[in-house]
Amino acid sequence: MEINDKDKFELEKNGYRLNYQNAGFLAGTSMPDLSWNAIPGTSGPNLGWDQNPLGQFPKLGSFLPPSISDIQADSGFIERAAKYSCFNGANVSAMLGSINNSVLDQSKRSENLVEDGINRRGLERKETGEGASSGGCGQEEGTSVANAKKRKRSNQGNGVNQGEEAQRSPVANCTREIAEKDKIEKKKPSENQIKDESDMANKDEYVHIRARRGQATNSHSLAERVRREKISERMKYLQDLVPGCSKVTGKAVMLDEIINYVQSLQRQVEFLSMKLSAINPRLDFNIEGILSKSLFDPHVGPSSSMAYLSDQSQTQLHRSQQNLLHGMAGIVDSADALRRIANAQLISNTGLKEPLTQMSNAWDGDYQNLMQVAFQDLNNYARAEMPNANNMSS
Amino acid sequence: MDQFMDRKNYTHRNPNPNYTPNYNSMQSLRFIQALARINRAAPKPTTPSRRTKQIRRAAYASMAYTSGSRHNWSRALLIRLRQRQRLRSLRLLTVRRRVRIVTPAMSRPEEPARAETLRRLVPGGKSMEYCNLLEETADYMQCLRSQVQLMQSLVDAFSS
Repeated sequence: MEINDKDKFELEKNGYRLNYQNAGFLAGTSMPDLSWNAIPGTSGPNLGWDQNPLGQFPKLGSFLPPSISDIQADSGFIERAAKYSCFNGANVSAMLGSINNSVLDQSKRSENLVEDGINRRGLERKETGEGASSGGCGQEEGTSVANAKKRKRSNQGNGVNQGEEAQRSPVANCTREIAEKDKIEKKKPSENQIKDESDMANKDEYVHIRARRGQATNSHSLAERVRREKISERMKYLQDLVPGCSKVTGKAVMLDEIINYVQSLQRQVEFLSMKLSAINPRLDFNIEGILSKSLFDPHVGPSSSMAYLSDQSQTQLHRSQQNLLHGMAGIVDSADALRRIANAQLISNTGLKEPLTQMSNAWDGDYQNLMQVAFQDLNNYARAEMPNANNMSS
Repeated sequence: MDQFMDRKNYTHRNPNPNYTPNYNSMQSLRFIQALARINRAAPKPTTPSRRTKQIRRAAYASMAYTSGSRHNWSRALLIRLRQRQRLRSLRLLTVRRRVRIVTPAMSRPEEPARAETLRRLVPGGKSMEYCNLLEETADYMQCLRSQVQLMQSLVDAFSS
Protein backbone atom coordinates (compact mmCIF):
# COMPACT_ATOMS: atom_id res chain seq x y z
CA MET A 1 0.00 0.00 0.00
CA GLU A 2 1.14 3.47 -0.50
CA ILE A 3 1.33 6.27 1.86
CA ASN A 4 -0.82 9.15 0.88
CA ASP A 5 0.77 12.30 -0.34
CA LYS A 6 0.40 14.07 2.93
CA ASP A 7 2.37 11.47 4.69
CA LYS A 8 5.09 11.58 2.17
CA PHE A 9 5.27 15.28 2.45
CA GLU A 10 5.57 15.13 6.16
CA LEU A 11 8.16 12.51 5.98
CA GLU A 12 10.17 14.73 3.81
CA LYS A 13 9.61 17.57 6.16
CA ASN A 14 10.80 15.70 9.17
CA GLY A 15 13.66 14.16 7.45
CA TYR A 16 13.53 10.77 8.83
CA ARG A 17 12.58 7.46 7.63
CA LEU A 18 11.46 4.49 9.46
CA ASN A 19 12.63 1.28 8.31
CA TYR A 20 10.14 -1.45 8.34
CA GLN A 21 11.79 -4.09 6.43
CA ASN A 22 14.55 -4.24 8.90
CA ALA A 23 12.36 -3.56 11.80
CA GLY A 24 12.18 -7.24 12.10
CA PHE A 25 15.74 -7.12 13.33
CA LEU A 26 14.64 -5.04 16.15
CA ALA A 27 11.88 -7.21 17.34
CA GLY A 28 12.52 -7.98 20.91
CA THR A 29 15.87 -6.33 20.94
CA SER A 30 16.94 -3.18 22.53
CA MET A 31 19.09 -0.92 20.51
CA PRO A 32 20.80 1.48 22.76
CA ASP A 33 22.82 2.93 20.00
CA LEU A 34 19.83 4.34 18.28
CA SER A 35 19.40 7.99 18.36
CA TRP A 36 16.59 10.01 17.01
CA ASN A 37 18.92 12.71 16.08
CA ALA A 38 20.98 10.62 13.81
CA ILE A 39 18.66 10.79 10.97
CA PRO A 40 20.13 11.04 7.57
CA GLY A 41 18.54 13.07 4.87
CA THR A 42 15.75 11.52 3.05
CA SER A 43 15.32 11.01 -0.56
CA GLY A 44 11.97 12.51 -0.73
CA PRO A 45 8.51 11.76 -1.84
CA ASN A 46 9.03 8.35 -3.23
CA LEU A 47 9.32 6.86 0.12
CA GLY A 48 7.08 3.99 0.76
CA TRP A 49 6.72 1.29 3.23
CA ASP A 50 8.19 -1.22 0.97
CA GLN A 51 10.83 1.02 -0.38
CA ASN A 52 13.05 1.40 2.59
CA PRO A 53 16.28 -0.19 1.70
CA LEU A 54 17.75 -2.28 4.34
CA GLY A 55 20.31 -0.99 6.61
CA GLN A 56 20.48 2.50 5.35
CA PHE A 57 18.37 4.12 7.90
CA PRO A 58 18.49 4.47 11.58
CA LYS A 59 17.13 1.66 13.50
CA LEU A 60 14.70 2.80 16.01
CA GLY A 61 15.27 1.07 19.20
CA SER A 62 13.00 0.31 21.99
CA PHE A 63 14.85 2.58 24.32
CA LEU A 64 15.25 6.11 23.37
CA PRO A 65 17.81 8.43 24.73
CA PRO A 66 16.54 11.33 26.70
CA SER A 67 17.38 13.65 23.86
CA ILE A 68 14.07 12.99 22.23
CA SER A 69 12.84 16.15 23.76
CA ASP A 70 14.62 18.14 21.15
CA ILE A 71 12.91 16.35 18.39
CA GLN A 72 10.53 18.68 16.79
CA ALA A 73 7.11 18.03 18.09
CA ASP A 74 5.24 17.71 14.92
CA SER A 75 1.81 16.43 14.38
CA GLY A 76 2.76 14.54 11.28
CA PHE A 77 5.64 13.01 13.07
CA ILE A 78 3.45 11.75 15.79
CA GLU A 79 0.97 10.56 13.28
CA ARG A 80 3.41 8.51 11.44
CA ALA A 81 5.13 7.33 14.54
CA ALA A 82 1.91 6.10 15.93
CA LYS A 83 0.86 4.70 12.65
CA TYR A 84 3.96 2.68 12.28
CA SER A 85 3.56 1.37 15.72
CA CYS A 86 0.09 0.20 14.92
CA PHE A 87 1.12 -2.02 12.16
CA ASN A 88 2.42 -4.83 14.17
CA GLY A 89 0.25 -4.65 17.12
CA ALA A 90 -0.02 -8.37 17.25
CA ASN A 91 3.63 -8.76 17.92
CA VAL A 92 4.03 -5.89 20.22
CA SER A 93 1.25 -6.83 22.55
CA ALA A 94 3.36 -9.26 24.41
CA MET A 95 6.18 -6.81 24.82
CA LEU A 96 4.02 -4.03 25.92
CA GLY A 97 2.39 -5.93 28.66
CA SER A 98 3.94 -3.71 31.23
CA ILE A 99 2.48 -0.51 29.93
CA ASN A 100 -0.86 -1.89 28.95
CA ASN A 101 -2.91 -0.87 31.87
CA SER A 102 -1.79 2.67 32.23
CA VAL A 103 -2.01 3.26 28.55
CA LEU A 104 -5.44 1.79 28.24
CA ASP A 105 -6.74 3.94 31.00
CA GLN A 106 -5.25 7.01 29.51
CA SER A 107 -6.54 6.30 26.09
CA LYS A 108 -9.97 5.66 27.44
CA ARG A 109 -9.89 8.90 29.32
CA SER A 110 -8.68 10.74 26.33
CA GLU A 111 -11.36 9.09 24.33
CA ASN A 112 -13.93 10.45 26.68
CA LEU A 113 -12.40 13.86 26.45
CA VAL A 114 -12.45 13.64 22.74
CA GLU A 115 -16.04 12.63 22.67
CA ASP A 116 -16.95 15.57 24.77
CA GLY A 117 -15.13 17.85 22.50
CA ILE A 118 -16.98 16.95 19.40
CA ASN A 119 -18.50 20.09 18.06
CA ARG A 120 -18.85 22.17 14.96
CA ARG A 121 -15.96 24.43 15.81
CA GLY A 122 -12.73 22.83 14.88
CA LEU A 123 -10.95 20.79 17.41
CA GLU A 124 -7.37 21.73 17.72
CA ARG A 125 -5.20 18.83 18.47
CA LYS A 126 -3.12 19.67 21.43
CA GLU A 127 0.45 19.14 20.66
CA THR A 128 1.57 19.08 24.19
CA GLY A 129 4.32 16.91 25.35
CA GLU A 130 4.75 15.34 22.06
CA GLY A 131 8.41 15.26 22.40
CA ALA A 132 8.14 12.89 25.26
CA SER A 133 5.30 11.03 23.77
CA SER A 134 7.10 10.51 20.57
CA GLY A 135 9.46 8.51 22.65
CA GLY A 136 6.64 6.23 23.41
CA CYS A 137 5.86 5.89 19.78
CA GLY A 138 9.40 5.26 18.92
CA GLN A 139 9.57 2.59 21.51
CA GLU A 140 6.91 0.68 19.79
CA GLU A 141 8.34 1.44 16.47
CA GLY A 142 11.57 -0.01 17.46
CA THR A 143 9.96 -3.20 18.38
CA SER A 144 7.57 -3.20 15.52
CA VAL A 145 7.71 -5.69 12.83
CA ALA A 146 6.08 -4.40 9.78
CA ASN A 147 4.85 -6.67 7.17
CA ALA A 148 2.07 -6.09 4.80
CA LYS A 149 0.30 -9.08 6.20
CA LYS A 150 0.79 -8.04 9.72
CA ARG A 151 -0.41 -4.58 8.94
CA LYS A 152 -3.59 -5.97 7.57
CA ARG A 153 -4.02 -8.29 10.46
CA SER A 154 -3.32 -5.57 12.90
CA ASN A 155 -6.12 -3.54 11.48
CA GLN A 156 -8.52 -5.83 13.19
CA GLY A 157 -6.75 -5.46 16.43
CA ASN A 158 -6.08 -1.81 15.98
CA GLY A 159 -8.82 -0.78 18.21
CA VAL A 160 -7.36 -2.71 21.09
CA ASN A 161 -3.78 -2.14 20.38
CA GLN A 162 -4.02 1.53 20.03
CA GLY A 163 -4.51 1.83 23.68
CA GLU A 164 -1.63 -0.41 24.42
CA GLU A 165 0.79 1.36 22.27
CA ALA A 166 0.08 4.91 23.14
CA GLN A 167 1.65 6.13 26.25
CA ARG A 168 0.22 9.54 26.53
CA SER A 169 -3.11 10.97 25.61
CA PRO A 170 -1.97 12.98 22.60
CA VAL A 171 -0.43 9.89 21.31
CA ALA A 172 -3.57 8.02 22.03
CA ASN A 173 -5.41 10.61 20.08
CA CYS A 174 -3.21 10.28 17.13
CA THR A 175 -3.15 6.55 17.27
CA ARG A 176 -6.85 6.52 17.20
CA GLU A 177 -6.77 8.92 14.40
CA ILE A 178 -4.15 6.95 12.63
CA ALA A 179 -6.20 3.85 13.08
CA GLU A 180 -8.94 5.77 11.48
CA LYS A 181 -6.67 6.64 8.69
CA ASP A 182 -5.41 3.12 8.47
CA LYS A 183 -8.81 1.72 8.13
CA ILE A 184 -9.57 4.16 5.46
CA GLU A 185 -6.40 3.48 3.64
CA LYS A 186 -7.12 -0.14 3.78
CA LYS A 187 -10.63 0.25 2.64
CA LYS A 188 -10.98 3.39 0.68
CA PRO A 189 -8.15 5.80 0.41
CA SER A 190 -10.33 8.50 -0.95
CA GLU A 191 -12.55 9.41 1.94
CA ASN A 192 -11.77 13.03 1.77
CA GLN A 193 -13.53 14.03 4.86
CA ILE A 194 -11.54 11.74 7.03
CA LYS A 195 -8.31 12.76 5.44
CA ASP A 196 -9.15 16.32 6.08
CA GLU A 197 -9.90 15.52 9.64
CA SER A 198 -6.56 13.99 10.05
CA ASP A 199 -4.87 17.12 8.83
CA MET A 200 -5.63 18.77 12.05
CA ALA A 201 -2.80 21.20 11.99
CA ASN A 202 -3.77 22.69 8.70
CA LYS A 203 -7.50 22.67 8.33
CA ASP A 204 -9.61 23.88 11.15
CA GLU A 205 -12.80 24.57 9.32
CA TYR A 206 -13.87 20.98 9.11
CA VAL A 207 -15.82 19.22 11.73
CA HIS A 208 -13.25 17.33 13.69
CA ILE A 209 -14.68 14.07 14.68
CA ARG A 210 -12.72 11.33 16.22
CA ALA A 211 -13.60 7.86 15.29
CA ARG A 212 -13.97 5.81 18.36
CA ARG A 213 -12.47 2.46 18.77
CA GLY A 214 -13.85 -0.21 16.62
CA GLN A 215 -16.39 1.99 14.93
CA ALA A 216 -16.94 2.58 11.30
CA THR A 217 -15.33 5.67 10.02
CA ASN A 218 -17.04 6.55 6.82
CA SER A 219 -18.51 9.97 6.66
CA HIS A 220 -22.13 8.90 6.89
CA SER A 221 -21.78 7.09 10.13
CA LEU A 222 -19.74 9.89 11.59
CA ALA A 223 -22.37 12.45 10.76
CA GLU A 224 -24.95 10.11 12.15
CA ARG A 225 -23.01 9.78 15.34
CA VAL A 226 -22.70 13.54 15.71
CA ARG A 227 -26.41 13.88 15.23
CA ARG A 228 -27.17 11.22 17.78
CA GLU A 229 -24.94 12.89 20.29
CA LYS A 230 -26.61 16.21 19.73
CA ILE A 231 -29.95 14.61 20.30
CA SER A 232 -28.86 12.92 23.48
CA GLU A 233 -27.39 16.17 24.76
CA ARG A 234 -30.68 17.91 24.18
CA MET A 235 -32.59 15.13 25.84
CA LYS A 236 -30.42 15.56 28.89
CA TYR A 237 -31.14 19.26 28.93
CA LEU A 238 -34.83 18.60 28.67
CA GLN A 239 -34.56 16.12 31.46
CA ASP A 240 -33.32 18.90 33.69
CA LEU A 241 -36.18 21.14 32.67
CA VAL A 242 -39.02 18.75 33.22
CA PRO A 243 -39.63 18.40 36.92
CA GLY A 244 -39.43 14.95 38.36
CA CYS A 245 -37.56 13.37 35.52
CA SER A 246 -34.20 12.90 37.06
CA LYS A 247 -34.50 9.16 37.45
CA VAL A 248 -36.20 8.46 34.18
CA THR A 249 -33.91 6.76 31.74
CA GLY A 250 -34.41 6.04 28.14
CA LYS A 251 -35.46 8.23 25.34
CA ALA A 252 -38.93 6.85 24.84
CA VAL A 253 -40.07 7.33 28.40
CA MET A 254 -38.43 10.72 28.52
CA LEU A 255 -40.24 11.79 25.39
CA ASP A 256 -43.54 10.73 26.90
CA GLU A 257 -42.82 12.76 29.98
CA ILE A 258 -41.95 15.79 27.92
CA ILE A 259 -45.14 15.51 25.93
CA ASN A 260 -47.19 15.14 29.08
CA TYR A 261 -45.57 18.14 30.64
CA VAL A 262 -46.11 20.38 27.63
CA GLN A 263 -49.71 19.26 27.39
CA SER A 264 -50.27 19.92 31.05
CA LEU A 265 -48.76 23.39 30.75
CA GLN A 266 -51.02 24.22 27.83
CA ARG A 267 -54.03 22.97 29.72
CA GLN A 268 -53.03 25.11 32.66
CA VAL A 269 -52.89 28.16 30.42
CA GLU A 270 -56.41 27.44 29.24
CA PHE A 271 -57.69 26.93 32.73
CA LEU A 272 -56.06 30.06 34.06
CA SER A 273 -57.37 32.12 31.20
CA MET A 274 -60.84 30.86 32.03
CA LYS A 275 -60.28 31.88 35.60
CA LEU A 276 -59.06 35.30 34.59
CA SER A 277 -62.05 35.84 32.38
CA ALA A 278 -64.28 34.77 35.24
CA ILE A 279 -62.71 37.34 37.48
CA ASN A 280 -63.31 40.21 35.11
CA PRO A 281 -67.13 40.14 34.86
CA ARG A 282 -67.26 40.81 38.54
CA LEU A 283 -66.34 44.32 37.67
CA ASP A 284 -69.08 46.74 38.02
CA PHE A 285 -69.40 48.39 34.70
CA ASN A 286 -70.21 51.71 36.25
CA ILE A 287 -66.87 51.72 37.85
CA GLU A 288 -65.36 50.66 34.67
CA GLY A 289 -66.96 53.49 32.82
CA ILE A 290 -65.95 56.07 35.36
CA LEU A 291 -62.47 54.96 36.08
CA SER A 292 -61.73 53.86 32.60
CA LYS A 293 -58.92 55.13 30.53
CA SER A 294 -61.12 57.82 29.12
CA LEU A 295 -59.99 59.71 32.16
CA PHE A 296 -56.41 58.72 32.10
CA ASP A 297 -55.77 57.44 28.66
CA PRO A 298 -53.97 59.92 26.47
CA HIS A 299 -55.02 57.97 23.41
CA VAL A 300 -58.59 58.78 24.05
CA GLY A 301 -57.83 62.27 25.28
CA PRO A 302 -59.45 63.32 28.49
CA SER A 303 -62.56 65.37 28.33
CA SER A 304 -62.26 68.92 29.50
CA SER A 305 -64.18 68.41 32.69
CA MET A 306 -61.89 65.63 33.74
CA ALA A 307 -58.68 67.32 32.81
CA TYR A 308 -57.84 68.26 36.35
CA LEU A 309 -58.45 64.74 37.45
CA SER A 310 -55.98 63.44 35.01
CA ASP A 311 -53.41 65.91 36.21
CA GLN A 312 -53.90 64.82 39.72
CA SER A 313 -53.77 61.21 38.79
CA GLN A 314 -50.53 61.57 36.95
CA THR A 315 -48.40 62.04 39.99
CA GLN A 316 -50.08 59.20 41.75
CA LEU A 317 -49.77 57.02 38.73
CA HIS A 318 -46.10 57.64 38.58
CA ARG A 319 -45.84 56.31 42.03
CA SER A 320 -48.01 53.41 41.12
CA GLN A 321 -45.97 52.73 38.07
CA GLN A 322 -42.87 52.57 40.12
CA ASN A 323 -44.53 50.42 42.65
CA LEU A 324 -45.79 48.11 40.03
CA LEU A 325 -42.46 47.83 38.40
CA HIS A 326 -40.86 47.16 41.70
CA GLY A 327 -43.24 44.41 42.34
CA MET A 328 -43.23 42.99 38.88
CA ALA A 329 -41.87 39.78 40.14
CA GLY A 330 -44.26 39.63 43.00
CA ILE A 331 -47.47 40.92 41.64
CA VAL A 332 -49.26 40.60 44.89
CA ASP A 333 -47.04 43.23 46.43
CA SER A 334 -47.85 45.69 43.74
CA ALA A 335 -51.48 44.91 44.18
CA ASP A 336 -51.21 45.99 47.77
CA ALA A 337 -49.48 49.16 46.76
CA LEU A 338 -52.14 49.71 44.17
CA ARG A 339 -54.78 49.30 46.76
CA ARG A 340 -53.28 52.09 48.79
CA ILE A 341 -52.94 54.28 45.79
CA ALA A 342 -56.42 53.48 44.69
CA ASN A 343 -57.69 54.72 47.98
CA ALA A 344 -55.78 57.92 47.67
CA GLN A 345 -56.99 58.44 44.14
CA LEU A 346 -60.56 57.81 44.94
CA ILE A 347 -60.51 60.20 47.82
CA SER A 348 -58.97 62.86 45.67
CA ASN A 349 -61.60 62.48 43.04
CA THR A 350 -64.30 63.98 45.12
CA GLY A 351 -66.71 64.08 42.28
CA LEU A 352 -66.72 60.34 42.16
CA LYS A 353 -68.13 59.44 45.53
CA GLU A 354 -70.39 56.81 44.15
CA PRO A 355 -67.69 54.47 43.02
CA LEU A 356 -66.05 54.63 46.41
CA THR A 357 -68.72 52.56 48.08
CA GLN A 358 -68.83 50.23 45.19
CA MET A 359 -65.10 49.95 45.14
CA SER A 360 -64.92 49.05 48.74
CA ASN A 361 -67.08 46.08 47.93
CA ALA A 362 -65.27 45.10 44.86
CA TRP A 363 -61.55 45.33 45.34
CA ASP A 364 -61.08 43.11 42.41
CA GLY A 365 -62.29 45.76 40.12
CA ASP A 366 -60.02 48.17 41.83
CA TYR A 367 -56.96 46.10 41.20
CA GLN A 368 -58.06 45.52 37.70
CA ASN A 369 -58.61 49.15 36.90
CA LEU A 370 -55.52 50.36 38.53
CA MET A 371 -53.40 47.78 36.90
CA GLN A 372 -54.98 48.69 33.61
CA VAL A 373 -54.41 52.30 34.19
CA ALA A 374 -50.93 51.94 35.48
CA PHE A 375 -49.75 49.64 32.80
CA GLN A 376 -51.48 51.54 30.11
CA ASP A 377 -49.62 54.59 31.18
CA LEU A 378 -46.32 52.86 31.48
CA ASN A 379 -45.86 53.23 27.82
CA ASN A 380 -46.93 56.79 27.65
CA TYR A 381 -45.86 58.57 30.77
CA ALA A 382 -42.54 59.08 32.41
CA ARG A 383 -40.13 57.25 30.16
CA ALA A 384 -37.41 58.31 32.46
CA GLU A 385 -38.92 56.55 35.39
CA MET A 386 -39.19 53.28 33.64
CA PRO A 387 -35.50 52.66 33.23
CA ASN A 388 -34.88 53.26 36.89
CA ALA A 389 -37.71 51.06 37.86
CA ASN A 390 -36.74 48.39 35.42
CA ASN A 391 -33.23 48.39 36.69
CA MET A 392 -34.46 47.94 40.16
CA SER A 393 -36.91 45.27 39.31
CA SER A 394 -34.80 43.20 36.96
CA MET B 1 -52.95 45.52 9.24
CA ASP B 2 -49.44 45.26 10.53
CA GLN B 3 -49.64 48.77 11.80
CA PHE B 4 -52.65 47.79 13.75
CA MET B 5 -50.75 44.99 15.37
CA ASP B 6 -47.78 47.19 16.02
CA ARG B 7 -49.81 49.84 17.70
CA LYS B 8 -51.14 47.35 20.12
CA ASN B 9 -47.89 45.64 20.89
CA TYR B 10 -45.36 48.36 20.54
CA THR B 11 -43.21 49.05 23.54
CA HIS B 12 -41.29 52.27 23.48
CA ARG B 13 -37.59 51.88 23.28
CA ASN B 14 -36.00 52.37 26.62
CA PRO B 15 -33.59 55.31 26.60
CA ASN B 16 -31.56 54.06 29.52
CA PRO B 17 -28.21 52.79 28.26
CA ASN B 18 -27.94 50.27 31.03
CA TYR B 19 -31.30 48.76 30.39
CA THR B 20 -31.19 45.03 30.11
CA PRO B 21 -34.59 43.53 29.52
CA ASN B 22 -35.47 40.68 31.72
CA TYR B 23 -37.51 38.08 29.97
CA ASN B 24 -40.01 37.60 32.72
CA SER B 25 -40.70 41.26 33.26
CA MET B 26 -41.11 41.86 29.55
CA GLN B 27 -43.54 39.02 29.38
CA SER B 28 -45.50 40.22 32.39
CA LEU B 29 -45.67 43.71 31.00
CA ARG B 30 -47.01 42.58 27.67
CA PHE B 31 -49.51 40.23 29.16
CA ILE B 32 -50.85 42.77 31.57
CA GLN B 33 -51.13 45.33 28.83
CA ALA B 34 -53.08 42.85 26.81
CA LEU B 35 -55.33 42.16 29.74
CA ALA B 36 -55.88 45.85 30.21
CA ARG B 37 -56.85 46.16 26.58
CA ILE B 38 -59.28 43.33 26.87
CA ASN B 39 -60.84 44.83 29.91
CA ARG B 40 -61.08 48.17 28.26
CA ALA B 41 -63.09 46.62 25.51
CA ALA B 42 -65.24 44.81 28.05
CA PRO B 43 -68.36 47.00 27.92
CA LYS B 44 -69.07 45.48 24.54
CA PRO B 45 -71.03 42.39 25.40
CA THR B 46 -68.81 39.40 25.21
CA THR B 47 -69.61 35.91 26.19
CA PRO B 48 -67.32 34.32 28.71
CA SER B 49 -66.03 31.86 26.17
CA ARG B 50 -65.01 34.69 23.89
CA ARG B 51 -63.26 36.39 26.74
CA THR B 52 -61.46 33.19 27.57
CA LYS B 53 -60.28 32.91 24.05
CA GLN B 54 -59.14 36.49 24.04
CA ILE B 55 -57.20 36.04 27.21
CA ARG B 56 -55.63 32.85 26.01
CA ARG B 57 -54.67 34.51 22.79
CA ALA B 58 -53.17 37.36 24.78
CA ALA B 59 -51.15 34.88 26.80
CA TYR B 60 -49.68 33.24 23.74
CA ALA B 61 -49.10 36.59 22.12
CA SER B 62 -47.15 37.88 25.07
CA MET B 63 -45.05 34.75 25.04
CA ALA B 64 -44.36 35.02 21.35
CA TYR B 65 -43.61 38.72 21.39
CA THR B 66 -41.13 38.55 24.19
CA SER B 67 -39.34 35.67 22.54
CA GLY B 68 -39.36 37.55 19.30
CA SER B 69 -37.59 36.16 16.30
CA ARG B 70 -35.09 34.24 18.30
CA HIS B 71 -36.85 30.95 18.08
CA ASN B 72 -38.72 29.07 15.48
CA TRP B 73 -41.70 28.45 17.65
CA SER B 74 -42.20 32.12 18.47
CA ARG B 75 -42.04 33.04 14.81
CA ALA B 76 -44.53 30.36 13.90
CA LEU B 77 -46.80 31.45 16.73
CA LEU B 78 -46.68 35.07 15.63
CA ILE B 79 -47.51 34.12 12.08
CA ARG B 80 -50.42 32.06 13.28
CA LEU B 81 -51.70 34.88 15.45
CA ARG B 82 -51.51 37.38 12.63
CA GLN B 83 -53.25 35.08 10.23
CA ARG B 84 -56.09 34.67 12.64
CA GLN B 85 -56.20 38.38 13.24
CA ARG B 86 -56.52 39.00 9.55
CA LEU B 87 -59.11 36.33 9.24
CA ARG B 88 -61.17 37.79 11.97
CA SER B 89 -61.10 41.35 10.85
CA LEU B 90 -61.08 41.14 7.10
CA ARG B 91 -62.80 37.82 6.60
CA LEU B 92 -60.24 37.02 4.00
CA LEU B 93 -58.66 33.70 3.54
CA THR B 94 -55.74 34.66 1.38
CA VAL B 95 -53.02 33.07 3.38
CA ARG B 96 -49.72 32.93 1.67
CA ARG B 97 -48.02 29.85 2.93
CA ARG B 98 -44.32 29.94 3.30
CA VAL B 99 -42.87 27.24 1.15
CA ARG B 100 -41.03 24.91 3.43
CA ILE B 101 -39.52 21.60 2.73
CA VAL B 102 -41.50 19.39 4.98
CA THR B 103 -40.74 15.74 5.18
CA PRO B 104 -43.81 13.76 6.16
CA ALA B 105 -43.71 11.59 9.21
CA MET B 106 -43.34 8.44 7.23
CA SER B 107 -40.08 9.53 5.77
CA ARG B 108 -38.47 10.16 9.12
CA PRO B 109 -37.91 6.67 10.35
CA GLU B 110 -35.11 7.44 12.75
CA GLU B 111 -37.31 9.41 15.10
CA PRO B 112 -39.13 7.85 17.99
CA ALA B 113 -42.81 7.28 17.61
CA ARG B 114 -44.05 10.09 19.83
CA ALA B 115 -42.11 12.72 17.98
CA GLU B 116 -45.11 13.55 15.88
CA THR B 117 -47.18 14.32 18.94
CA LEU B 118 -44.49 16.68 20.04
CA ARG B 119 -44.52 18.32 16.66
CA ARG B 120 -48.20 18.99 16.99
CA LEU B 121 -47.77 20.49 20.42
CA VAL B 122 -44.94 22.85 19.73
CA PRO B 123 -45.89 25.62 17.30
CA GLY B 124 -44.01 25.39 14.07
CA GLY B 125 -42.86 21.93 14.88
CA LYS B 126 -44.00 20.31 11.72
CA SER B 127 -41.13 21.39 9.59
CA MET B 128 -38.26 21.10 11.99
CA GLU B 129 -35.81 18.32 12.25
CA TYR B 130 -35.90 16.24 15.34
CA CYS B 131 -32.74 17.74 16.69
CA ASN B 132 -34.03 21.30 16.41
CA LEU B 133 -37.40 20.20 17.64
CA LEU B 134 -35.95 19.18 20.97
CA GLU B 135 -34.20 22.48 21.36
CA GLU B 136 -37.36 24.41 20.53
CA THR B 137 -39.34 22.28 22.92
CA ALA B 138 -37.01 23.19 25.75
CA ASP B 139 -37.40 26.88 25.12
CA TYR B 140 -41.13 26.64 24.58
CA MET B 141 -41.48 24.77 27.84
CA GLN B 142 -39.61 27.47 29.71
CA CYS B 143 -41.75 30.22 28.25
CA LEU B 144 -44.94 28.33 28.92
CA ARG B 145 -43.92 27.73 32.48
CA SER B 146 -43.18 31.40 33.09
CA GLN B 147 -46.49 32.33 31.50
CA VAL B 148 -48.35 29.91 33.73
CA GLN B 149 -46.63 31.29 36.78
CA LEU B 150 -47.52 34.81 35.74
CA MET B 151 -51.17 33.98 35.21
CA GLN B 152 -51.33 32.05 38.44
CA SER B 153 -49.98 34.98 40.39
CA LEU B 154 -52.46 37.29 38.68
CA VAL B 155 -55.33 35.05 39.60
CA ASP B 156 -54.09 34.90 43.15
CA ALA B 157 -53.77 38.66 43.31
CA PHE B 158 -57.24 39.28 41.98
CA SER B 159 -59.02 36.68 43.97
CA SER B 160 -57.54 37.40 47.37
